[in-house]
Amino acid sequence: MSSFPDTLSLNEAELAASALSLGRVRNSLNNALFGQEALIEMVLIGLLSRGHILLEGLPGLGKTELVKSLAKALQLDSKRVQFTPDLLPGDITGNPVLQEVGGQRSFVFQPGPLFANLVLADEINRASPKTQSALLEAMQERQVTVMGTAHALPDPFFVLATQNPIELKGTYPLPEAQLDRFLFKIEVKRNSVETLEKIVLNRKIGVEPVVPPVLDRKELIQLLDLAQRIYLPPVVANYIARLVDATHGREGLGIKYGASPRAALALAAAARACALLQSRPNASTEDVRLVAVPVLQHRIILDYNSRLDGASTPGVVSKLLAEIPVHDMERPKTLLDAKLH
Amino acid sequence: MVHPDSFSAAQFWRRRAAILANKVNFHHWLSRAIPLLVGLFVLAALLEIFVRETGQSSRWIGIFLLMGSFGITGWAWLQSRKHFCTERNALVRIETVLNLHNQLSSAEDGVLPWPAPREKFDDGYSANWRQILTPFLGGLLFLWVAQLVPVSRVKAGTANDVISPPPEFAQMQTWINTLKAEDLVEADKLQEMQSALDKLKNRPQQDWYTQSDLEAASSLKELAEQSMNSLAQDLDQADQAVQAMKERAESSSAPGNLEAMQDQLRKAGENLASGNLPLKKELVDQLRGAEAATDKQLSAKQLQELHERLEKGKMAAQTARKGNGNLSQEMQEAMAKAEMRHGQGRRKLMMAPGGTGGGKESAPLELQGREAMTSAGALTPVSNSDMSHASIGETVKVSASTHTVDPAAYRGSQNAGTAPVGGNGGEAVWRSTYDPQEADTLTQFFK
Repeated sequence: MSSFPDTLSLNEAELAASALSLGRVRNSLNNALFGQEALIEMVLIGLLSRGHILLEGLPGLGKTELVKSLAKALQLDSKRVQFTPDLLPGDITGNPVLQEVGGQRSFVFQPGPLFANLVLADEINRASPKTQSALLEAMQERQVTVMGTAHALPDPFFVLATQNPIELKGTYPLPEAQLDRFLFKIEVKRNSVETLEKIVLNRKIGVEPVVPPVLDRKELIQLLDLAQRIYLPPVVANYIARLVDATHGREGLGIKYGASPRAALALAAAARACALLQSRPNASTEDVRLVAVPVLQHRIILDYNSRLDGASTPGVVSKLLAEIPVHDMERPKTLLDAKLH
Repeated sequence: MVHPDSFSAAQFWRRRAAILANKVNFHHWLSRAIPLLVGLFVLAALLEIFVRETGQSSRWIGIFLLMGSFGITGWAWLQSRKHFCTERNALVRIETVLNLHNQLSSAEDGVLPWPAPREKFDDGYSANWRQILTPFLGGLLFLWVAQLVPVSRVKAGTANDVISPPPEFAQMQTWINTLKAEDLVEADKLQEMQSALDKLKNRPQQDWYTQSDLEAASSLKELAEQSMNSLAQDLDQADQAVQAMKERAESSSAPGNLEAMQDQLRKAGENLASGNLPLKKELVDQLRGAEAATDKQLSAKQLQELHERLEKGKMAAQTARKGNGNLSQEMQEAMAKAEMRHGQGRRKLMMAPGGTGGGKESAPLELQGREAMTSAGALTPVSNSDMSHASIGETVKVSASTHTVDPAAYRGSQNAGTAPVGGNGGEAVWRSTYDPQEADTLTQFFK
C-alpha cells in the first residue's frame, strides 16, 4: 500500500504495530479456547470499541474461560462476580466501612469488584433489578456513587456479562435500557466434533490453560486510541444511518421497536475496531455488515405476531442486511444485479 | 504524501465511475421510456388499422410515431433525472463489487491513496434483456400485425354513411315545386322559401338531426304550412265571391248584394296580395278588376274563367299542404328510410321536454305506463244494451251482462274454520273469477 496522505491521522507504522499486537492477542486466546475464533474476534472488536459485551450461551462453552484468558493475556486487573438474587448493589460497587485511625472513627470506602479493568458478571440475569441498575450506572458512567461520592472506575473498564438462555425461572431479564448499554450481545455456539476432540486431548478438568501475557495495559490503551482514529467514510456513515433507520417501521419484518441512535454509534465504533483488527485505515460497509448482528440483535424488539411465527432478532437483522443496499443507488428494472453478498 | 501514481489511478477510477453512472442513468431512462413507447406502438397500430379501413394515407402515422417518440424520450429523461446515479455513488458500487472496503470513497475524500487500476473490471450490472426486449418487441409486433391484419375498407357513400335528410325538407320541396308548377305565387317569394330551405339543406349532414336544426326545419315548415293555409283560405274566399258574382251575372234573379260580394272579393284580394305567399300580380289585378267593375262590365264568361283559375289554385294549395300526396315515390321511400334509421331517436328527441314536439311528451327512454299497453286481443268484450249515449271510453271495460252461475253446480268439498271457502252464489263468482283488469294482468304475465 502506498504511503498515507497527511490528512489521515494514522500512519502505516502504527497500523503495522497494532496488527502485530492484536495478532498476538488473537493467537493467545485461540490457544486457550479452541474452536471459538469468531467469538474471540468479536470480543476483541468489542474491547477495541471500549464496549461491554453480553455473552449468551449454555453452561460449559467457555464463556468464563474466555474472559479469564483475556484478562491474563492483556495483563488486566480482572474480577468475577457471580450474580445471585440476594446480591446487593453494595456488594458490587463497594461499601463504606467504619475505620478507626488514631482514635478517630470515619467511614472509608471499600471498593467492590467493579473496580477492575475487566469485570466478569456471571449470570447477570439472576441478580435483582436493583443490583442490575447499579451495574448499569457503572457501565455507562464508568463510575460508581456511594454515599454521595462518585468514584471513578479504572481505565480501561470492560464488563463482560454472561447469561444462560435456559433455566429462566427466578431470573430477572435485563430491561431494554440496560441491554442497550451492551455494545455486543454474542451468542456462544456449541463446539464441533473436531473442536471437542481437540479439547479432550489438550485439556484436563480443574487445570486452567496457561495464557502468557502478550499485551500490557499501556499498549491496550494505545490500541483503543488508534481504533478511534480509524477513518469512517461518509458512505459508511450513510449506510449505518439507513440500516438503523430501517429498523423502524419497515413493513414485513415484524419489528415493534427499532434501534436507538446509540446503536448507530455502536455500529460506527465497532466498524472502526473491525477495520483496525484487519489493519485497515478506514472502516467499510463490510465491517458494518460484520458487526451488525451482535450490535443490533438485542436492540430491536419484535412484535407479538412475528415472535409467534418463530422469528428471531438475528434473523431480522440478517433480512435487513439483505434488503438495504450498501450504496444508496436505485437500480433500474432493466438492469440485473450480480449477487454481491 | 500522496503517491504520484495516485493521479493516474484517480483518473482511471473516476472514468470507470462516470461510465457506470452513465450506464445506470441510461437504464433509468430506458426503464421509464419503454412502457410509454410500447403504448405509442399500440396506439400507432390501432391508427394504422383505422387508416387502412378508411383508405387514407398512412404517411402521417410515421410522423406521429416520430413525434411521439421524441416526446416520450424527453419526458422519460425528465422523469428519470431525479433517480440518476452520481459518480460518487458509482464509486461506492465499484468498490463494493471489487471488495475494496470503501477504499475508493476514502481516496475520493482525500484520506487514502487510490488503489491501483485493475485490468479486468466488472461492475456487476448486466442488462435485463427480457425486461427490455419483451415489451419493445411486443409493441413492434402490434405494429406489424396492424399492417398485415385483413381489414374491409369502408366505401365512401354507401348507405351506412349517407344520412337521409329530415322529412320536412322533402315535404317543403314538394310544396315549393307544386306552387312553382301552378304558377300561382310570386316567384321571388317562392325563391325566398327555396333559399331558406337550401340553407338548411346545405348544413353539414351530421347537424341535420341536432336540436337546433330540427327546430329550424320544423319552424320553416310550419311557416310555409301556415302561409299555404292562408293562401288556400283567401283563394276560397275570392272564389266564393267570384262564383256569386258569376251567378248574379248569369241570372238577374240570383240573390245577393253586389257590394258585399265586391267587399269580400276586395278583402280576399288584399290578403292574397300581402300574404307570405302573395298571389301573382296578374291574378291579383284580375281580382281587383272584378271587384272594381260592375256586373255589366265583366261578363259571366270572364267570371267563369276567373273562377276556374281560382279554383285550380285553391286545389293546388290544398293538395300540396295536405301532405305527401304529391311526393314522388323516390321521396316517399327516402322519407320512410329516414324514419326507420333515425325515427326512433328522432321521435324521442321530438317527444323530449323542450324539443320540437312542444315539451309535453315523455322523456326519451322513459318506461311506458300500463295504459299504453293496449293488448287489443285480450280486451273484455263490450256489451251495452244502451249504446246510444255511451262513448267509447265508457263502454270499454264496462259490461252490463251478468255472470252465469249455476247454483246447483258441484263446488267440491268445503272446509270449515278459517280455511278458504269458495262461497255460494254470487259470492262464489267474485271470489273464484277475476275481474277484467286482473285477467288482463294475468294474461299479460303468462303471455
